[in-house]
Amino acid sequence: MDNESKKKTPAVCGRHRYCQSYPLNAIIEISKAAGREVQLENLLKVIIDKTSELMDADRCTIFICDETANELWSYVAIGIDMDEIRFPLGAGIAGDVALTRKTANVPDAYEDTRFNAEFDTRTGYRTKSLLCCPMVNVEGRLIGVLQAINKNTGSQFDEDDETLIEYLAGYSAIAIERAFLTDRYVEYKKNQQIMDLAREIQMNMLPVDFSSICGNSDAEVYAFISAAADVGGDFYDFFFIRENVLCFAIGDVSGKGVPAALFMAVAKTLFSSIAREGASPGQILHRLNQELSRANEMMMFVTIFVGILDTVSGAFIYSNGGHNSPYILNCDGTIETLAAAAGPAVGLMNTAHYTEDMATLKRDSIMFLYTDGIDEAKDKTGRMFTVPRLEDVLRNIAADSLQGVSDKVLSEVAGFTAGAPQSDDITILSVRLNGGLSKGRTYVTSVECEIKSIPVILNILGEVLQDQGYDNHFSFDVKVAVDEACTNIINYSCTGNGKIEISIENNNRAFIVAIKYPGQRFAPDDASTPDIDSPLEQRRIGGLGIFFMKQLMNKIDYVHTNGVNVLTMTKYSEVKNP
Amino acid sequence: MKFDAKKEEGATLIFDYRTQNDTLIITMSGSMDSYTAPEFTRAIDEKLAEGHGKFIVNLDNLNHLSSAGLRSILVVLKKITGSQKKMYFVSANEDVNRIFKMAGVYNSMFTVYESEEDVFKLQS
Repeated sequence: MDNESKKKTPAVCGRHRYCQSYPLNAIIEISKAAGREVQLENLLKVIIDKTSELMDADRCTIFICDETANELWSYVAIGIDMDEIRFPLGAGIAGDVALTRKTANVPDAYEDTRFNAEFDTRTGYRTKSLLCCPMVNVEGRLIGVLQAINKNTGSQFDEDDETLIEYLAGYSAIAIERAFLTDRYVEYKKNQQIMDLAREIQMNMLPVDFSSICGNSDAEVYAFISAAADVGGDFYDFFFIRENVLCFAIGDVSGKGVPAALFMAVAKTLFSSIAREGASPGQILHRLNQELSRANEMMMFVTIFVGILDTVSGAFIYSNGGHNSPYILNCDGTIETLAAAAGPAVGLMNTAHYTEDMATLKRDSIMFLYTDGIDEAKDKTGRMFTVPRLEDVLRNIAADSLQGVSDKVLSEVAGFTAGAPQSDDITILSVRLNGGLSKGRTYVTSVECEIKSIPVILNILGEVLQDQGYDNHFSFDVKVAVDEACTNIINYSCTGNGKIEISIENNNRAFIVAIKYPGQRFAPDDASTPDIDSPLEQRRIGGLGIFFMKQLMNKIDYVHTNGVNVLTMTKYSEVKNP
Repeated sequence: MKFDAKKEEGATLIFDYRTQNDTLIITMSGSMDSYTAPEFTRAIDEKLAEGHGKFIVNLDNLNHLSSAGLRSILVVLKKITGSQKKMYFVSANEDVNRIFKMAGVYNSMFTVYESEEDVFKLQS
């Protein structure tokens, strides 16, 4: 039977394909299915059924274009199982149609050189006539190929069939693309929910009750964290290790998304458990690094700054694992950078070494810590906010509350980025010790490194103690402790060599003596606790003095950096001081 | 507030001697710190050389005592007991006694009596 005779077949209304309403019905069915079926598989089934019916074809196949792999794929029935078959664009008749985007009407597949008989071999089916049409969306993107096989009437497909399948392919392209988009949207929503949940868990790990710190001491803490669209890895933490000793940290985990969130959770948990054991900042980073670098095949890391602050004396020991240097904002508008004790980011090399340094947080000065979401905040042209710009903002910042300082910085950043999307987490942590010196003075003196300086030191100390209104017992204790400390320093650390600088500070909570001296390290803990039961002559030299120091003072801190030692002794004033 | 260290120079442990019966009463005032502590040993050596055998050390005006001071007291005591001499400590203030107690020597290595009278009563 040739094409001519086929065309002249009279139109019969009702179920006949030439009845105007019949293809329309099929198209309406496909449109309806596109709106109804969320699952691509179900939609494909409707298209296949309707196309087969309308084209009077024995079978129908839909090939979907996989743009990333440059392949066409389809589900085919092999025996009773559905299997996915794939082939490259260009292979076979369907592949050729996909490339040329031209409908192919093939009377006998086996006569066509493009035909790939492998499907017939695998499925046990015998292909003869074949009508193959590209499915292209409105933007001209190839969605796939719609193929009708074996005309039921035994003849080949004709020109009317070609017109019809092109109609159907157009509608199917829209329907399939819509199903894909829906699918992707559902997937996206699901991911979004997972991300939101991860973010929520992350945020719940961070302390938000700033009043608990205020209630306990003069220390005041404020934190702000703003997550970028993806789950990031910023975190902060603060807690009292013991009375008057505040530990705090700020950190930023490499990368984004769920891996960063997981790594952050581990880092944060490890950090607080190590810190709560009473380790020093350098020890904390050392141990955290040991733990995180173990089996870290993803090579993730965290930058983290850890500080331990004596909220009475303001003595502050810190260590930095690759994080942005924090600042101290002084009341006179100047800023200091805490740039020392800088080690590598934590988690990469288990051989990394973390040093410590010491600073003093004066009353009413503000310690400002932040993550690189601030200095690397970008405007629409990609320019960064930068550290110098942050320093300009912090200098002479006119805000008297911690939140005020934080808000001011954030508004400057927002003004700079001017609506460009936030690309990274932004975190700010600030700490302040309230209540200035009761008499607003720090006493500083320096003496020669000789034993004959001891009475000089004691006389000065006695005057200051009296001047500040301390009673004889309090003064006695401080003087004995300072005598012991200086005697040990002079005898064992810097004999006859250089000067000892003594600074005395009195605030509304404590009397603090800081002794700065050159020479080799001499820490109070280097001497073992003396055995007070053995004859004095047999006891370790210096041991008894250190024992006295510890008994008479509330707190002794020691730090050694760059050949300079600083020993800080604190005695709490309690009610004795006005 | 900057202090002029120079004007504060000089020893601040002062000894005052008087004799009652056959006993030398030494009143020690000021600060027994690591710089002044050896002076106590020196002073007692001098008095032993002069032939004194019985001592009362009055600590009433001692307002500072460090471990160096305590060490010098114990060195002296060892010398005294080794040479069959006698030394009594009296009138130490609350803070000084606290140091003795902290070091574990109070009423164990030596006794601190209330007053000079208590020592004389004990001897009679």
